Amino acid sequence: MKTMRAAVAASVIVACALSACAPHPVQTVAGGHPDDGRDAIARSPCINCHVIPGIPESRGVVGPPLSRWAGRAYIGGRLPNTPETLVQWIRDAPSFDPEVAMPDMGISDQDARDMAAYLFTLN
Amino acid sequence: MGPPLIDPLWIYGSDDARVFESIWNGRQAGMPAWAGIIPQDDVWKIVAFIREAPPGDKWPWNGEAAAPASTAASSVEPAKGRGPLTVDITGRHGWWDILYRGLEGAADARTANELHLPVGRPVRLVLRSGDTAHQFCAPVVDDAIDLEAGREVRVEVQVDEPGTSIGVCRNLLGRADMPMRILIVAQPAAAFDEWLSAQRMPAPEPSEASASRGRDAFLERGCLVCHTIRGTPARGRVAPDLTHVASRRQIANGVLDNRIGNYEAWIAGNESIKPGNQMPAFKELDGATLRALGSYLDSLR
Repeated sequence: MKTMRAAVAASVIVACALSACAPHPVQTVAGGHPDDGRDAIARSPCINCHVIPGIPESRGVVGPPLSRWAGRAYIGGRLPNTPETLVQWIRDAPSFDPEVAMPDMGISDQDARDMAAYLFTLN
Repeated sequence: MGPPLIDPLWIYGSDDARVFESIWNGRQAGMPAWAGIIPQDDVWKIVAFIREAPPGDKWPWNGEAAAPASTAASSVEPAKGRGPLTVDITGRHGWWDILYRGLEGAADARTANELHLPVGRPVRLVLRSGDTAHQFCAPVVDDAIDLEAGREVRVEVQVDEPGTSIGVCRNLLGRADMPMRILIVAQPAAAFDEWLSAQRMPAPEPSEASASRGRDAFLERGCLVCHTIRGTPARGRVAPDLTHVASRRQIANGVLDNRIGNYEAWIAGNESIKPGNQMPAFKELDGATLRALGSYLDSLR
């Protein structure tokens, strides 16, 4: 049985490697530090609108939970979820979508990079 | 026929909401209900008039009337050239209402959860409970003071150093997990005077389009039923006065830092932030309107 499972697992890995469907590739954010991002998020209003894995203070229900961020396809339901787009979204979401509830909170470029870097560690 | 309105005894409580209630709903002892006879706005004007009776007539320590029921009588005299500073503090459901009465033609200043005190000047605190029982436990008093509805407690305090401190008080009949915070801000006299003058002013007119849109939403979406913003038609009294909310360090009774993002979070999702609080969560606002409200509140400095 063990051998069988191992064989199945191995074949999945091979299949994924061949078809480029490896589980969430790790995306990094240029200039972003995930640990600093975690701290920056915990100090920010983010936690009052979102539930964010790894940040126990987060409790918000105004925006969506940010679990499994690295696997998300879209930001705000409309923008492809790339690191640079996420950095700019965190800094000024209304510039992408005038109807969005998330405000421009005056978050610095460095803090936004760090925050995005942390979110992309969430698999 | 009715009791005097210029002595310090208030049978049904002396805060605005109680006086309004006495006029609007009447009292069994003989006061008729004026609801539907006197327009609500006029009742509030009457409340304001009753509450603004000259302090010399109303408060014993300014005249030669009966001895004050002070818990901490002090012999410290106010600095020369300054009248005594009196602050009315009323415990509400989940927050503290803080009133600096207007004297000699100055307007009232009303704020919430943040008590500013001038360094080196004695201040009289008039403590009340606006609903059930409260406990006042700011670091400026030695022991927690129990407050019951319909009874005033007067205490004289003086701070000697600038700085901030926080009192976390129990709301005796509230939820065990909903403490009432009060932030004490002790300021040098000049800074305090400047702060108080600014707090007496009506709200600034919004200068940006988003804030202006937020002002309209505030007045149209029901916020004004519970909140006052002086200088606007918003005159609700069951929730904090927001005239200068952006000047405060915190919002939501000390639960949130005062900044853009947290206004929106509180308006649309306060129940997840402070379970059991009295404000409804406004989930029917579209995103742009929610942000506009945040901009407006952030402009109320």
